[in-house]
Amino acid sequence: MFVIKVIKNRFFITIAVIFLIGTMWNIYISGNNDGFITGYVVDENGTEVSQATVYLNRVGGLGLFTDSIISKTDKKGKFIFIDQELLEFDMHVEKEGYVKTEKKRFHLYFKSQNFLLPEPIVIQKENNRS
Amino acid sequence: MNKTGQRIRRNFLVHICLIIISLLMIIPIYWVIKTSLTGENIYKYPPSLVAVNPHIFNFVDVYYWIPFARYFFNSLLVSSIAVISNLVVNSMAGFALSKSFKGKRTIILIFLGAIMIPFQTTIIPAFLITKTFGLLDTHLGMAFPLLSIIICIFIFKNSFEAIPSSLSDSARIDGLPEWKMIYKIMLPLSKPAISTNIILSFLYSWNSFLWPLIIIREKMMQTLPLGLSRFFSVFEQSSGQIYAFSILVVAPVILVFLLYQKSFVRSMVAGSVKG
Repeated sequence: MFVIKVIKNRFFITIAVIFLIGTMWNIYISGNNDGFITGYVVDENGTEVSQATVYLNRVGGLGLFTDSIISKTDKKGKFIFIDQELLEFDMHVEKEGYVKTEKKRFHLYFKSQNFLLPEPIVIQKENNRS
Repeated sequence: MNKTGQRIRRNFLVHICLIIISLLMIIPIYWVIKTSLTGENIYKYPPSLVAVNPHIFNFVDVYYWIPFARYFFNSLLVSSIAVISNLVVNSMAGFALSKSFKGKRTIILIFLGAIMIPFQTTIIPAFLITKTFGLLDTHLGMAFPLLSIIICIFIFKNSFEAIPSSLSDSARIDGLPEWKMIYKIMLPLSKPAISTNIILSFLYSWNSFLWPLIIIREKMMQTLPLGLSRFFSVFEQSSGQIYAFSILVVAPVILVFLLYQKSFVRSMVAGSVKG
């Protein structure tokens, strides 16, 4: 009877809900904080681009930039950055014979979040440049 | 037009006025929430009325740019100390003042006089006393001037005076000690007063700025209002983050008020019709 009374109490419900959300969020973070940042690079026809250089620039708290971290795409156009303790970063792609892409900014929900770019980065061939 | 029609028309106009006033009061709060979710420049003209591309990244930035969790813990601990102390000390003081004894009037006058002295004028002696106790840079030191709020003593006093004396008399005949009488009889019958004490002491301690600013030197001992002030000075260009921080500072106070509002309003109304 006492337990039911406590469970129905609005103070208990409020604290329990806050605690539950916090716990679930922390569990989610602990399972997704390896710092993997992955994505794909394709050309304007949607063909995977291998050996393209992907530049990642960390954005600091005051919008300060740091040196680039580099990764190369594999045969499937996939690139991966490991152990990146980032919250906000810029990314662009370069490859010989292709036009350098514009810097694109990404923001994560927590530091070291495993992040898959929502859409592939499209890089244009130089002779197709309009 | 008959009387009912006139009354409906009058009520309609009153409600329209009330809705307009409510909207005017809600606009600043809405604007803060909207800016915190969009990061829109507050000087943008024309301003957008709805939140365009809302996101929670400003809140994420606040959490990581400053030791937010630590500041939150400091504020919560200081407020908890103040709330518990206020409940214990004020209920005892209120119980004593609800009884008749020699010098009661003088004590009440001293208390009322103390309310009229602004805190800023007593801050140097308060600092020296806190220093003497070795409480500088501590949580207890931050809660020290708020351990008992005088206005809350009177709330307890009025509430206890409204309880029939026959109850305490019969308890005394049954051999109940005075301190147990507060705990077993007076407090369970004074829930609105308890709620008012919790809300007021939490509000005062949570929003306390000047006192922590003076006695805290250690960065990690700062409370949320101090952190907000520091945030303003360092990240003055980041309006989205500043507004997000403001919401995070205010949210617990609103939550506490919403939890206790029913009893709080009952306490205020009881005070207004008493006598």
